[in-house]
Amino acid sequence: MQGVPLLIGISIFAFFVMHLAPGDPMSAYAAGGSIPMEELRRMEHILGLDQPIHVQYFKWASGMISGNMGYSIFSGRPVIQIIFERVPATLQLMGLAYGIAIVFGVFAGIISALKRYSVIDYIVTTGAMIGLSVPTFWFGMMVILLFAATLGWLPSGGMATLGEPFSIRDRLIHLIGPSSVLGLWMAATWSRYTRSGMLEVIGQDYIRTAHAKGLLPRLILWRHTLRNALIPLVTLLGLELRLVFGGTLVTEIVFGWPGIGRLYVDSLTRVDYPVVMGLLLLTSVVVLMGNLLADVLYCVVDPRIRVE
Amino acid sequence: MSEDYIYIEHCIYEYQGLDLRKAVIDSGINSNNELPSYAVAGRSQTAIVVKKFLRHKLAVLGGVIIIVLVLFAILAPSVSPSDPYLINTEYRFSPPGQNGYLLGSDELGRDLLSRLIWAGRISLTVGLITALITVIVGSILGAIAGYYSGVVDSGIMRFVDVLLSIPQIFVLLAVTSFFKQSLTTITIVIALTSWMGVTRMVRGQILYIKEQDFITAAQAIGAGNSRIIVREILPNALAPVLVATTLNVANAILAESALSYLGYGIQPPTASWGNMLNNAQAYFMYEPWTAIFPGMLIALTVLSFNFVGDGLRDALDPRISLN
Repeated sequence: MQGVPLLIGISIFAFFVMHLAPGDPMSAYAAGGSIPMEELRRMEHILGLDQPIHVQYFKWASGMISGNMGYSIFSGRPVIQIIFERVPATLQLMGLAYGIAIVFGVFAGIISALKRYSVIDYIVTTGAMIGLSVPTFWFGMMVILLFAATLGWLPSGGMATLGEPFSIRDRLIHLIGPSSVLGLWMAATWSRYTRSGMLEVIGQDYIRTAHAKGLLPRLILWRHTLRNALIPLVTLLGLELRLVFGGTLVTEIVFGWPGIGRLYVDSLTRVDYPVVMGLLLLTSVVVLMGNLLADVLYCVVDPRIRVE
Repeated sequence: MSEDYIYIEHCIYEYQGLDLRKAVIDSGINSNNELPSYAVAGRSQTAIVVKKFLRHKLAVLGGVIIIVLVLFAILAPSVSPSDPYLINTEYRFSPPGQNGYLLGSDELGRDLLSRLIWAGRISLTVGLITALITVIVGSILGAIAGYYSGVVDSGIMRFVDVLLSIPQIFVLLAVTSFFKQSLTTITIVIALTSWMGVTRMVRGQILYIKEQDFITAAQAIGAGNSRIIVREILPNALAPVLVATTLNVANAILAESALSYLGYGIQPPTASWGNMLNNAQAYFMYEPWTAIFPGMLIALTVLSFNFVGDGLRDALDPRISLN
């Protein structure tokens, strides 16, 4: 329920960021000079842009509640339709990236915690730091340079080979580049969280007790350490979303992936306010829900939280 | 029993920056002039922090790199081999090391090395000033929220929650697309979208600190609210703020480079590492050096600040001992 005022706050922010700015959508058309003034006024009236700003907000917000996100100024089509055309592409990219991040990150984190202060630990922690510091878009460019331009193993961008019918294989080949870039960047965070979570659990009394009882180290690792260390990671699923959306946007641009990130940048160039506002709201709502879901999930998997 | 006593003494003296060895000798507890193994002889708090930081080799390396980069940025007019704007169409896309271009040239025959050096000025300026603004805004709002609690607190924190739900790059792009993108607007916009972490952290610190006895003592002698915040609370929250500032420099540099890469940041012909990559986007498959070097510099700079931040965190953490 705490989410409702937050949602209202986000909608106000998304709306006013787009409207308090100098240069309204009409100025994009006016700048061309080819459209006569009275025609501009008429368009402004049809789009409702001549009304007071709070009236516009309430109209927009009440439309949102009923699932009507307004109409694109650029194409006249419903915003919700434009956005949801792009959602599958982004979902595929983010989904695979999350998979890569969790597998690589968690694995690296576990190894590095178990072999603390070893060469492997050093490589993993330093590697994670490098992963967090390298700009995603540059990493993407280097992947294109190496695997597409030089070795020719991967396509240099896009979602499908031109002129070829859709096939899962073709889609996957196009997905490898962008999802690895996004996923390896995310894996850096996952490995850091996993490592610190593991180290915390390893130092607990019940692990020492398990050792003292003479349990097999392998058993202790699987039954005691991992189970307790990996539970807090479910919160990262949601907490990370805000950053992941940023990474996705940039990755989509580098690889020409036609998802919502590219739609956002394209809409900004076209000064297509309704689409921009719709995307701002949509991504924020997803981030909000992700955080909420992470909290709920944490309670489900960790009985200790429920008791408190 | 006497060992405990020495240890407590040690803590008090360390806190006051005094020489423990002298204290132990003065107290006459240890007649052999020997110190217990866990005590650190004769070091002030600052000396311990410095020593702990120096132990973190990557942080030291990061610090050195930052100093070198800053020097290059300051001395750009004298160290850059040529004019970063000088167009020479005769030598377009010269590979590194040829025609007198150490790191090659771009599509207008401009010297890449010179542009990289001048771009460093931009990126470092954005990074450092942004971090400064985020710390000031973040600390003040965090301090107010934590100290006053109630309506003020929930008002500020709900606003933080709202901003923390919207992906930063989306807001940055939306806002910068309206304004004339200059160094000033970019810096301010990045700062205004990245202070929330500091606010949350400072608020948490303050909530803890204000329950401590020395705050009660300050209130008892009649100190006002603003005096308590500025003189008593903020200095005690300094360590995490310092770490956050360092990490914020890294994030701001990344944000600026991403914005410039997307074409909404620093505008050409002024060079920034990000817009050099935007520029390289069309050519990098055939002239890879146009993309390799700017990206490496961003990564190196950000990595250095991240390592320094990590080193500072360990150095300032009293739970991590020197031994």
